[in-house]
Order: sequence, then structure tokens, then C-alpha cells
Amino acid sequence: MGNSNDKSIKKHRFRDPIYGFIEVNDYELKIIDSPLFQRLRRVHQLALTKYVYPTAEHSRFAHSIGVLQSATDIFNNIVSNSDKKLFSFERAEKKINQDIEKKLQTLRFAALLHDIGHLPFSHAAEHYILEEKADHEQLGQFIIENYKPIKIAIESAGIEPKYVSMLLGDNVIGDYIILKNIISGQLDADRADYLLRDSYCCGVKYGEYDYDRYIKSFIFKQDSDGLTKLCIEEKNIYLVESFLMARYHYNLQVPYHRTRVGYDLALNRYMKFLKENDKLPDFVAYGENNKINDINFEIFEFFDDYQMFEMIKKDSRDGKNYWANILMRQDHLVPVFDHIKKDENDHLMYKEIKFELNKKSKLEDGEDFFFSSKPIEVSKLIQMQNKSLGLIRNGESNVDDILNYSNVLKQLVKPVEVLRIYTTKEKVDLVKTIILKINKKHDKLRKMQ
Amino acid sequence: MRKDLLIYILKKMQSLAIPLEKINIQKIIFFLRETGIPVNYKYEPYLFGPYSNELKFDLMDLELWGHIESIKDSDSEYTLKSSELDIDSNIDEVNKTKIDDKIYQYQNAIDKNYSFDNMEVSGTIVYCIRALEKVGINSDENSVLREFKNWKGNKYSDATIKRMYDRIHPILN
Repeated sequence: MGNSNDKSIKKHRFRDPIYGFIEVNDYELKIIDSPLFQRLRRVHQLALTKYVYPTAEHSRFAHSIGVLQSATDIFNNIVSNSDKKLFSFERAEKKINQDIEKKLQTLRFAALLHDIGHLPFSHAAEHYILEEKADHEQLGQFIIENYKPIKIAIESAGIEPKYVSMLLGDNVIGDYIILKNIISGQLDADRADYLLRDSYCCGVKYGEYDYDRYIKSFIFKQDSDGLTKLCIEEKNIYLVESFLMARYHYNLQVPYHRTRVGYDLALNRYMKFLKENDKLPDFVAYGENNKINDINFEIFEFFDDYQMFEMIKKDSRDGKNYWANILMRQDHLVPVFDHIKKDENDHLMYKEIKFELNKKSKLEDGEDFFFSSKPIEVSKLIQMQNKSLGLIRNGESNVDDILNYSNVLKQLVKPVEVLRIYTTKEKVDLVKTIILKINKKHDKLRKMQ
Repeated sequence: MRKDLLIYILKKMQSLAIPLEKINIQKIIFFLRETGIPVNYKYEPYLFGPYSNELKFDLMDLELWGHIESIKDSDSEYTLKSSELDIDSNIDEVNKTKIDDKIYQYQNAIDKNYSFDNMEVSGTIVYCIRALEKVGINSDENSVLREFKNWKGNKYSDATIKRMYDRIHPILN
């Protein structure tokens, strides 16, 4: 079995617009060369966002290699900022260093493979193909432990695949929780990469932040209860604030952009049509308690954006499928209501509109009109329930709660709820009339209060 | 399907006089998930034990559309709307029976003590056992104790953790 620190293991470099160069070792390159990883070149990172930002054509392939880099950067910086004993149960220094090297390689594999199970057009496809029995992370876990080219590459590096797959799942042993937090938790190398990458590829500034300073600012420290906490120094609060502001604006303007959400609704409806007509690929076999027993890797390897678009093109050309036409960008749903919730009155109005549309106008929910309400959370970094980002004040040894020191973060903790209604072009006038009537009624009520 | 299951579980909890506190909902659903009920919410190891943001958002959605409401003067407890109690669940009988049995077992394991600390300890024990099993480590008392303290530090005594382990471990398998 090999050791990734072995000088005989070659390094390979990829050019990247975000990091300059990304270096991978032989084991990682074997994974990248495997058919299932190459499949990620054919799965767009942002699905139909390209209908809003035409240059959003980048793939999950580039993003996955990017997350390998961001996860490595975050890990290396935290280790150099913190007491190394917090990263290992070993006690001898040599063994601690070896353990840390092993953990870094495990992290790199997990970062590289975190999206390996992703389906084309993710959420809609997951809902109709996986039917809430599993998600892409569970597919990814199965692939890591069972798909030979990946499994063998990981084992060759002296790592057990089950430790890599653990980092994609929910149940993580304490020794590896730090790594889990780096992949998708508080530190979130995944978001650290896609904020920058998606902004760059879309041509927007919303997701930009000071990456180099951000990754250097985290420390692990033990508090008075013996709990290991992720902390930052007081002088770096602004970095966390700017990261979360970037995420807030990015969320509203990219994945939850109102035009993009309209296409997601059409995609969802189209997937429902495919499901009803038995046209979706079937590649997962479940056992007891919905545990994944098998994946047909041959079918999965070719299930990508291209396969989906072949079906969309055919159904659009046949002229019988309204939703396929929208997905070919020849039609669109119209957003007729788009508000960020301010108070409970907004909820009341939203529900009243739905009642009117359902009961009184005889329009069909999910065919003639669509409701889309989404609470958007800015980050797991700061969560009221979590309270796990500590603050180190000017050399003090005690760890405080960061929310006590930043009004910006206190506001960003609260999820923002976006309330939207879409309709087909044919029903726009009718739906707008109903909305206007209810809006006027609620305006009057507000003035009376 | 997941939301239908959620509503059924909330109904069952309310019928057994289990307060629909957010922490109770979070930990009971985690236990149900880990014992084979197909409530496929993603959980993460948070400060007070396993926690699901997806579940939080589904609860917010149920509140928006009037299936549940927050209890007055509480931002952490719900009640089911009475109209919900009369609706027959869209869940098959096999799953209903399993859910009923599992909630009953959990109730007894925690002595019907729904204090915040008790729910945190029980949820964390379930998490630690499953995390160890995932990587093939024996989930005996000492391993779970070490895992628990690695996560929670000295917040709870060894005796408290061991006592809960003895009650939870038998009903997990």
C-alpha cells in the first residue's frame, strides 16, 4: 500500500481560473481518470442557470477538483494555526504528524468525490428518480465503497474507502468531525469554491470575497468544557461577515434568481411527465430500509445532462410537451409574485392568493400556476442553534460567542424567506388580477393597523 | 412522502402527549431514521446533537400552509391544527405500525423525560453508535463514551452517558 507522502508518487497539475494551479497525486489522478468521475464533465454545476447567465456552462468536474484545493487550503491553515494534538488521538509527535497526513489525504479524496453521485439537474432528478429513498450523497457513498477504479485508488493510498465515504454521510466519528466540517459543515470548502467559481463563470461579483485571508483565519481551540471549537480572532470578524454577505447576495442572484427558479419549476414538471411515462433510467436497487444494495454503473455512467437533453429535444420537436418547449428556451413561466417575507401579513396574503387560485378560479396548482417558497439560509457557519463559531478576543484564552460582537452576523443568522408565484403565459392576466385584488385588500389592512 | 411521514409522526407524538418541541421532533425523527423508517432527512452533528436543517425547513413549510402552528409565546414548540388530526394519513399500515412501535420504544428508553438535556444526550448516543458502526468499530459502552466526550467534552457525566447508552443501545437494533 502506498503513502501519498512518498516522494516517488508523482504530482500532476491542472490549470484553474480560481486557484492558478491545482496539484493532484497519482492516486487522485486515477480517480479523476475513471469513467464515473469523467461523467462529471457532462453534468453542469448550475443546471439551467445558463438561461439567466449565458456563460454559466462550467461542470461539476471543475468544481470537484476545485473543492479538493479549497479543502486542502483550509485544512493546512487550520493545522498550522492550532495545537496539533487537537487533530489526533495519538500522543507521540511523529504519530500525530502521520495521523494528520492520513487525515489530509482522506479529506482530499472526500472533497474530490463529494459530488460523484450527483444526478443531472440535481433536485428534480433526485426527487423523481430516487423518490426520497436516497440522495446523491448516499449514491456517492456507495460508489466510493463499491466502484472498483475509485475504491482501488483510495486503498492504494493506504486509506480505507469507508472513512472517505463516511465524510459524505451524516454519521461521522468524533476524530473526523473536523474533516466533515471542512467538507460541508461550518467551514464548507464546497461553498468556498463554488461562490468564487460560479461568480467567475456567471460574470457576476456577488459571490466574491477575500479567499486568501478567509482560509487563514480559522483556529481550533478547546474551551473550558474541553470542547474543541472552531474559532476566529476578533480582528478577523469582518472576513466572516464579508463571506456571509457574499453568500447572501449570491444565493438571491444566482441559484434562487427568479428566472432560474421558473426554469426549475418547468424542469420539475417535465420530470414528472417522464416519470409518469416510465422514461426515467432505473439504476438503483434498494434493500431493507431503503439501503442502497446496488447501482448499475453502466447506466449511471451515461446518465448525464446530454441524455436528459436528448429526451427534452425529442419531446419538444414532437410538439406535444409544453414543458420540454420551455426547457428548450422557446417558452417560459412568468413570475407574477416575488417578495421577501417581511412579516406574517405576507404569509397570510400568500396563502390567500393560493386559496383563491385553487378554489375560486379553477386553475390547477402545478399545471397553470406554481408556488415556490424558499427559506434561504446564509451559512452553517453561524447558526443560532449551533453557537459553535467562537471568538478569541485580543489574546484572551477564553472563547466567546461571535454573535455577541457583530450586528451584521446577528441579522444574517435569520433565514430569508422568498415567496414567489409563477404562471403560464396564457393565464397571466387572470392570475395577476387575482393577486392585485388581494394585494389591495392587504394594503388597506396594513394602513388600518 | 417525506412530509406525509412527518405529519403522521407529529400526530403520533401529540397523541402520546410528547410535546412538539423542536428538539423532540429533531431527535425522535433521527432515531426513527436510524431504525429504518424512510424519513430521509440529512442530519449533521451540531452543538446539541444531531440536527437537520431540511427538517427545520419542512416544519416551516408545514407552518406556512397551516398544518401546524407555533404555540403562543413559544418559538420552539408547535401544535397540530385540529383539522389535521382528522385527515387519514397517506402512509401504508406497515410503516404506521413501525413508527408507532419505535416511538413507543424511544419514549420508554428515555423514561418519558423530554427535558432538553435528556433529548440532547439520547440523540447524541444514537448518533455516536451509528457513526462507530459505519466504520466497523464496535459500538460498546467505552467506545460510545469516548465518542460522546470527543463531541461534547465534559458537559455530561460519564454516569449520565452510560445510563442512557444502556437504555438506547438495545432498541437501536
